[in-house]
Amino acid sequence: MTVLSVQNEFQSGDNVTATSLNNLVNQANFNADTTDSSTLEVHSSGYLKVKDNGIQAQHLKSDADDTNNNQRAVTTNHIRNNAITSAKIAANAVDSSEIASEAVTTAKIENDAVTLAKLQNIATSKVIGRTSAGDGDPELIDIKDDDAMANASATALATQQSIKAYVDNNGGNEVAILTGVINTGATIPLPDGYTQAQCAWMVAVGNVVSNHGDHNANHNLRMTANGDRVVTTTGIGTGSGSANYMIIGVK
Amino acid sequence: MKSVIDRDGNFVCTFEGGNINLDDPAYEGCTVVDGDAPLQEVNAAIEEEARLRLIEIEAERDEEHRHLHELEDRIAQLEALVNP
Repeated sequence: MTVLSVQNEFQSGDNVTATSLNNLVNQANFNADTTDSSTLEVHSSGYLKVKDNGIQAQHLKSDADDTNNNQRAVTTNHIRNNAITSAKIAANAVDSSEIASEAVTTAKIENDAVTLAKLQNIATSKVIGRTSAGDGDPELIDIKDDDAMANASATALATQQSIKAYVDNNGGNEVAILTGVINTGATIPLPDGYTQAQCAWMVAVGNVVSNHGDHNANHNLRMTANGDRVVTTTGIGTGSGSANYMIIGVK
Repeated sequence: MKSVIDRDGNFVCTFEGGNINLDDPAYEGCTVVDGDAPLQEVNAAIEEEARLRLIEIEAERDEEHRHLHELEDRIAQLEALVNP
């Protein structure tokens, strides 16, 4: 294979001088056949050059162990900024050491992706909240199972059991309310489980027919219930009627 | 709503909002029944009583008016005798 094509070839009997040799070399051109035309080519200006897209992976220096840290051909200087796409990164190739501290933002976490197990462990009988004034980091709040509510802490929560126990032991009154219609002369009923002393009651005029001998006279219609809850109607002559009542028991 | 009737079946009261204390001596012998049928019976009786009383009152007024007319006629007759 002829590597160089020269302008003037020496012929038999020609004198070879330094000048003629220099001229021969300086005027020589690379022969196109000397390249494979896939990785290397002869430029139009005569020099050899790497062909566009001619360098393949096997032409790059490989060092599996990278023991010298400078043997591999591709360095970060050879990679453009923003040139590496996610498709170029193998699955599970990035581990925590490749992620900078505090580099993961909220937007990078999928909704519902953070499980309870991923939160730090917390002590028994604590919930996450905040009682300190102002905005700030979440805090651990005590859950107290204190039936007597002795501490009365303003920064702790009570268990359902202790709330019930406290209300049962110290809680509010029971209230019963009955309403209805009662006949004149009858006794307002007591709510079941309540004594008369635990109750208060009232009546209002219900359905009444007045029957007087003198229907032109003035009549003072009154319906009342006395201290023993007996309902009395006056001002209706020999008429009859019923009252609306309400009785409230508190104990 | 429930109703209470006494041992003779007479309406005592209705109640709602809870149960009543039937141990109350005032309710001795009483019975609790569902609904307010006993009250409706009492109301119907009251309305009938009122209706009858109204008829009675209207009859009384008619009688009074008739009596007034008789008196006016007599007065007129007397005036005619005094001033012929």
